[in-house]
Amino acid sequence: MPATFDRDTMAAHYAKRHKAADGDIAAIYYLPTGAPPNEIRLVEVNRAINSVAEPEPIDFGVASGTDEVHRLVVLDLTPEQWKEILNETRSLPPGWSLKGRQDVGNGRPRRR
Amino acid sequence: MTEEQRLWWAQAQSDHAALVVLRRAGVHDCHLLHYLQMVCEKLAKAYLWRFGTAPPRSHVGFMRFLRALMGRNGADLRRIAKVFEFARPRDMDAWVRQIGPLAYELQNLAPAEANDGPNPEYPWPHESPAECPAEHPFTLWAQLRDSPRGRELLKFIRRTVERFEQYA
Repeated sequence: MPATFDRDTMAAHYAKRHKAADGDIAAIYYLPTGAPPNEIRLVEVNRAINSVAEPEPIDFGVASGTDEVHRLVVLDLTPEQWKEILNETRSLPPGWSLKGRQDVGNGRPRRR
Repeated sequence: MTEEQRLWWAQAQSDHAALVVLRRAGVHDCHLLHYLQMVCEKLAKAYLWRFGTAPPRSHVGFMRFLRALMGRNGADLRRIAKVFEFARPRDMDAWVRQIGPLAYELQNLAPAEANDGPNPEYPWPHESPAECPAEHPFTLWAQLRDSPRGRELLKFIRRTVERFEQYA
């Protein structure tokens, strides 16, 4: 984990860790546009999701009481749901935007 | 739902609400795991009261709950699969098998089950403490937060609490 909070670096750090945790993750995108400065929004595309539930983000507070305090919010999607987001037949959570999204699936940010 | 079920369910709901507050606050992992384990235990007891007798006092009941749930048959199981957002019972069954190891680890976190080792409540070992929960890196919470399977389990546990009336 980086010594002081840098959102972009931290997002890449999470992506690398999450990719290592599950071989079924096809892609991870970091969506900084519109997010509060201390919030990291990740979309994780996963081939192994077998629930038909509507996707919903889940949020975690991290490093409370330190100067690295931040919020991690993860939206897990199937590849089909991700395609629907891209062709705008499905919406992202309110306030989220694809603008400026970065492919961080390899642990390094890459603008799309 | 019987009154016994309602009482255990009410406590599971309250514990889960506290868990969500703690999860968003970013407190030490031990507190998150402590509440999560309690939610699972109380939810399991609420469900197991459906058989009309008190479930064992043991902290380990979540796996028993999952087995009892998947043991329902026919139309009942098809309905339950839908309650939990699975298209077919076989999809839910496959998923329950996948998350089995995480669920097992979770139910065995309680100090009474931890063999005087890592647990989310008390320093260990009891006779000569060498570690405390607040300073211990719990790999289980890392798995729940960092893997899609773990996050799905957290969402499933929320649904078991929120939708209890639909399958109790």
